[in-house]
Amino acid sequence: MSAALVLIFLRGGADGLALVPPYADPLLAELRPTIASPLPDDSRVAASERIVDIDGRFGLHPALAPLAPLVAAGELAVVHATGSDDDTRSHFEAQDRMERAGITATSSASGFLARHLASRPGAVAGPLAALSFGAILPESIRGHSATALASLRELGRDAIDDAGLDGLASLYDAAHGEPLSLDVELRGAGRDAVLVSRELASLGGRERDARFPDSTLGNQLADAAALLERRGELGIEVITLDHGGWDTHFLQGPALAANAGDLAASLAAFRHALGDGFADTTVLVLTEFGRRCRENVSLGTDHGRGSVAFVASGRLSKGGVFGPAPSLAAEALEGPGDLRVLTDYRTIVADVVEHGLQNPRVGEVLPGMATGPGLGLFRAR
Amino acid sequence: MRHAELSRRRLLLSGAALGPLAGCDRALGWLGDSLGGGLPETFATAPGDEVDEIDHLLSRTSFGVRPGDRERVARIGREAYIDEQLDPTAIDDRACLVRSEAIDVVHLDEGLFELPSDQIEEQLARHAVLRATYSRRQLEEVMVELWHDHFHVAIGKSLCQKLLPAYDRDVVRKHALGSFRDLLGATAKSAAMLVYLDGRENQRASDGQRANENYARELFELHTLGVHGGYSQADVMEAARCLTGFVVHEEWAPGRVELVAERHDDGEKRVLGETIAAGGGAADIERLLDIVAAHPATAAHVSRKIVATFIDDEPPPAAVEHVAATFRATRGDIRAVVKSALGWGGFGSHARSKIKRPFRFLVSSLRALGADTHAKGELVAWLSRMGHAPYAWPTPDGYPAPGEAWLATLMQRFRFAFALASGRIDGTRIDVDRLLAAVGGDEPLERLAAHVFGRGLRAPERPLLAESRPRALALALGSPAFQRF
Repeated sequence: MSAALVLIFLRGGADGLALVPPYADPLLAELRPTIASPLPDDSRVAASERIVDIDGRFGLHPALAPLAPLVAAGELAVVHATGSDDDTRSHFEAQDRMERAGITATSSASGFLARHLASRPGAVAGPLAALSFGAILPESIRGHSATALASLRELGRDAIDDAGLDGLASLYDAAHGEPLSLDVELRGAGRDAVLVSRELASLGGRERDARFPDSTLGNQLADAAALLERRGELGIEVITLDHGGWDTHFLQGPALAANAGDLAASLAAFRHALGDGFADTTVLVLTEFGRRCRENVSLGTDHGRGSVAFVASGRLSKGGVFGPAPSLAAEALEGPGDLRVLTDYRTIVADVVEHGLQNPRVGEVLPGMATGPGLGLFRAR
Repeated sequence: MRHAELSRRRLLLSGAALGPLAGCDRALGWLGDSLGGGLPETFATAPGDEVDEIDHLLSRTSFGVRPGDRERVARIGREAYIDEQLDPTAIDDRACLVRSEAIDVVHLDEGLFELPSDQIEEQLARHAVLRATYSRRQLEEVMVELWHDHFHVAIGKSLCQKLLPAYDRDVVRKHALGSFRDLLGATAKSAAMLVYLDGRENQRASDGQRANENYARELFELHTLGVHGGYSQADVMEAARCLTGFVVHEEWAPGRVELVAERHDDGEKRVLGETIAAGGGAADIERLLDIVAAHPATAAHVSRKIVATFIDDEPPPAAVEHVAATFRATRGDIRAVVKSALGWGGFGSHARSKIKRPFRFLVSSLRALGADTHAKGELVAWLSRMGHAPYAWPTPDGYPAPGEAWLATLMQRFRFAFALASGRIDGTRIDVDRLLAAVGGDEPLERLAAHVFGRGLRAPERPLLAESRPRALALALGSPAFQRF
């Protein structure tokens, strides 16, 4: 099976200290007297409400418990205290910075997935190489044609007949271009939309996969799994999804638990659905930044710096926490009290591109990044 | 003569006069048509092979050219049309209001807390579509859309859905062409924004916990100075202190906003180099908003958005400076700012440079073909499929403004075009026979297509004339030319 990547972006700044708490550090409970999850050995609460230990230092948020078997099986890696060099603490700046990966923010900047598709060896990527759930393509794919899907079920509705598609195709024919801004992009998008309408017609009307949670993320990952089963025939290489609601300024506990539970159950179902195909599949989970170490007056947390990233694949070297461990000591924190970024997230992307997607041209995907020792997330092929 | 805003009371009276017809969509459509909202007997199409200045002006100051719009601008002239549009309350809009204001949810405040949420969401979306489609106060509608994106409140969070009707009516629409400072103040103290960006949870620091920064940061980054406008993390934290203490009532008088003194941090603050003295209480927020509204970076940031809206998604720096100068000179008089954008010397050279977002694509389709719609379920569902349902963007930056960001929605646009043209959208009808009769001439289908495009057909577009009428119209709506404005 050809290699494929699913990028899940946790929009809003997911709290790495809550998702993968360094629970052995007593400072954590001091900084977060109200919102920290109970320790793994806290017998005052039910086991299902306690942190799930990973290695004696770190654990998973109780709601991430469905991911514990993946860690144990060596199929889920966590990188802690990771992030970009953007310190604006603005969601939108930090997301763009991360998805463009080192290219300065201009309107013509491309995303790292677009550069991967353009630089990887082999035949030119087809119109279905990049798929994205939602109407707006993420910045990570900017600069490469990509298809936005609402859902496979939705595709079956109001299909256009062949004569209609033929008419549209000739209207968007590149030969008829006009000297208007974005003419190339508009026509390319129109031709792709026609092609994709023809290609995906057979997939339309697919019913819900009951193995997945009935959430937006669950249903989209179910569709992603179905699409990836036919990746060779359809030419699918990368799929992007957004998971929102991580901007937990207020009453973080229940909001984050619900979101984390959705993420964990959806990911676990996805791994199960892929079966052997998971060996050739990588799931990368990123977020734009982490959150303030100290909780605020409304039992939430404000925008911070370092957070966690997750990498899941059947081809990892081992499971568990990779990279240097964060310190919560006051002198180690940054700005208003934020976790310092100790691992440039591009190190993770580099590993995923080179070993997960088998693209040796990492320098073209991540221009300007100093080469150094990788994290060793993947085992040799 | 100035027409008073059609009040709820007068609407109820006109509804009572209609007696058994009241509440019936067909009857309201008929009433709207009889008030001048229907298709004209005849209408002109664009005369030339290129988009002319009338079409360009109409395209940018409205949600698309309806049959009859061209003649009106040609008759009264560009300047008079702009002045008329800048004074929306003087425009008789009853033909729209009998349709749009028949929607219950937009009139309600506290009673709203009883309505099921899916009803509120659908009714709000219908209202937005009906106003954009039928209002003659089109420039105001364009500004309403811009401000909803700029001061975005996401319908999906907490109570926001229930607070959005009042936010749309008493905050965004009320100040859409007024003073920027008034608009900013109204958003800042609205129940909707206080809920959306956690202002109601923000109280003075205690036990080492500091104020909630959510709204304070977006106030600087999105609403006023812009992300590179020259504020610091310390400014965000100080502003957050100014904003402590607001609560939104839920139990009695739901939606009412109040500043609770004991939750407010009344110490001295320093924001953007200016001191806000201790003991200010409720005046702190006013002082903070005065400081940020008057900051030169705010004039530049807001002017950039105005220029992107009316001139080009990549705003020409000269246009931004031209508009920002007006913003500074008038202290943010939105009417003057918009007028200066439309009057900028380079305005005419940007015809068709912008790509429609899905909401505009859908509404401009309805307008071009003079559709009769009550915008129920099926129509607004298309907006969701295209990813552009009103107020549904999940994050505080509002829907992406550049049309380029929406190119991946073409597949859904094509399907909508075919569904609309072949009459497959329940509750939305187009009368092709009547359109062809009204546009007249030897080749009425070609003239109708030229009306849709705003110019004569080009060679690659001519084959659509050989198709069946519904397919020809669907192809016209799906064409690259109709994705632009």
